[in-house]
Amino acid sequence: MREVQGRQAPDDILIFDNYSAGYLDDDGHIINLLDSLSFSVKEGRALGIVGESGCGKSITGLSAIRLLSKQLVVQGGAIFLGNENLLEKTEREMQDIRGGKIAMIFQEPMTSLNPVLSVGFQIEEVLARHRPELSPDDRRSSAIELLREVGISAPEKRVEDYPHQFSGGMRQRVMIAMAIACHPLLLIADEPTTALDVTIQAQVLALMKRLKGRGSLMLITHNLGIIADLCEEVLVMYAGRIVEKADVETILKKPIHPYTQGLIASIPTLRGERQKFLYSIPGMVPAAKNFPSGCRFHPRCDRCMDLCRVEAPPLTKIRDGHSVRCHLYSGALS
Amino acid sequence: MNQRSFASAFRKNRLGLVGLAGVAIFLLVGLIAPIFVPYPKGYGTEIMVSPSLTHIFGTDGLGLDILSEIIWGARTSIYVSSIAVLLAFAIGVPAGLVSGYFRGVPGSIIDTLIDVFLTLPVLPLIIVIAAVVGSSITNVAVVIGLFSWPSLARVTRNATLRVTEMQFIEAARCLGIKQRVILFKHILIVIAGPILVNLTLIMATSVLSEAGLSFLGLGDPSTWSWGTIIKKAWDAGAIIDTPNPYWWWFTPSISIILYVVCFNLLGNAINDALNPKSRD
Repeated sequence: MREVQGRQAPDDILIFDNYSAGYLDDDGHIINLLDSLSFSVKEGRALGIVGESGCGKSITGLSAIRLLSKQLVVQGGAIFLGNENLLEKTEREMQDIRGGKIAMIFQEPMTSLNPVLSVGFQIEEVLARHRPELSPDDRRSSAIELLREVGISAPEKRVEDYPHQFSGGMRQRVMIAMAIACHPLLLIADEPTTALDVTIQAQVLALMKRLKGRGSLMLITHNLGIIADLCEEVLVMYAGRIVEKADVETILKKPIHPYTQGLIASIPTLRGERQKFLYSIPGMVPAAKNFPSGCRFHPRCDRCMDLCRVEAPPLTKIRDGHSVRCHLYSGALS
Repeated sequence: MNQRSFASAFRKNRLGLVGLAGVAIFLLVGLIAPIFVPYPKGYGTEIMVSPSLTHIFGTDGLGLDILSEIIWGARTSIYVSSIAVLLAFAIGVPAGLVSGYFRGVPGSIIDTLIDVFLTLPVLPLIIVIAAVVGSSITNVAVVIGLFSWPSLARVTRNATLRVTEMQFIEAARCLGIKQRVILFKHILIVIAGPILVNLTLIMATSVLSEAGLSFLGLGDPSTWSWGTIIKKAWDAGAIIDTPNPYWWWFTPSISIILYVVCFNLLGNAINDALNPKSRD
């Protein structure tokens, strides 16, 4: 049974509770990557996770289905799906959850489908795995129906086709069809449109928007535009920590963490004053073994104070539904 | 796997059809040999007759019909290569899959074992083992099989390593597909091409090994095989004689070559037909 945490609303589907993970280096030391993540995905809502490459977004996603590589170890906390702690599940129980209750789609549609199995076979296999009550004929018609749903034309014919006969955008649609085949409670999309060109991106986004509401969505991306389009809530991550957590409106219009402000400022705009250079945050995300002390963002922060170098700021609640991890707001100044 | 598209892709490959026909003929001849020719034994009356209508491939130094010897030899070849391939498949493919997929300690152990087996001087070892366990045709086949699996395991392992890294395997795991299914369906079907080609190579080389062993006198003297025919021709000096009874050593040699070529053609055609991209 889930321990009572107070802040968990009853409609939370997935809850990360103080979850930390790190990786084992060659000497057997654990180097922290994800530090005390606490957030939840609400039923029927979409949560966006943004951050630069290497900030731990994908590992967060993979943690939710426990598909971390062997070097990665959980350091503490819990991940709840409904009332069940996923970290206490056996591998066999996890296999029932993956694809059944939580599904995931990836960045690379070109390589996410098995090239020698027809797309119909691959969709039917997921159905056979998680909905054994279906007969082979039912599976075939469900597969066709799913392909139609994700916008593949003439699905009766295409169901026999092999992945190489589909374009990248269509393969991503097939991946989405496989992911939603068993009506998962939660869909984790890890950079679902990054590898597609812009017009196809728009189509896939429109599809995801249409499918939204059937279940919850956890969208991992570095593209704030996509977040603005699809998500209600946003989590900004930096170097394995949540730096700001708020609804999408607040993050885009009134971000208060210097990192979020930097991210927003680096979006090229068509309107407004013409700038000579597009703003960019100086430096880059450090590798995990070089995470700085104190606030992990301090070497790149233009408002860095002495305190930031030594002490990690706590996640401070600004108001309901808006938290930030920064000493500027932690009350340490007063 | 879509049966229809595989068959239609295979049919388009002419060389593959030739290979299939050749293999079918060899199998048929080997399996029903006892029905249409008697087992060649004892002595014949017509010694070293050149090819004629009564003896299409001529007769040997004992007056035995060489066509019958080759037909019975085909039987031996199929028997030896089937056992060798089955053994190599049963050991090599699981070993390669496991070491390629799980890596870690079991992977390194299997990999080291493959390396050790690959560095062994195979022919001398086969000779020693064949000499020790005695020259029954089954022993020869088993020994050949036991030394054929490392190359297959290596091919399987390398292909598995490559495929395991691919995202569709991760995607399959994300969709809750069981590890056993991933390993023996998703991965195996992708790497079926190189494995089948390697199997047909083993099919062919095991016949070569058997012929070599028989030629060295380590085969089964009571069983006709193509190598035994060549050995007898060699012992009788037929290969350097003038005038040369070419039919004695030429026909078994050609049989070996045809057998190897047909299996290779078949293997390559299966490999091509298994690749969905080459079907369009």
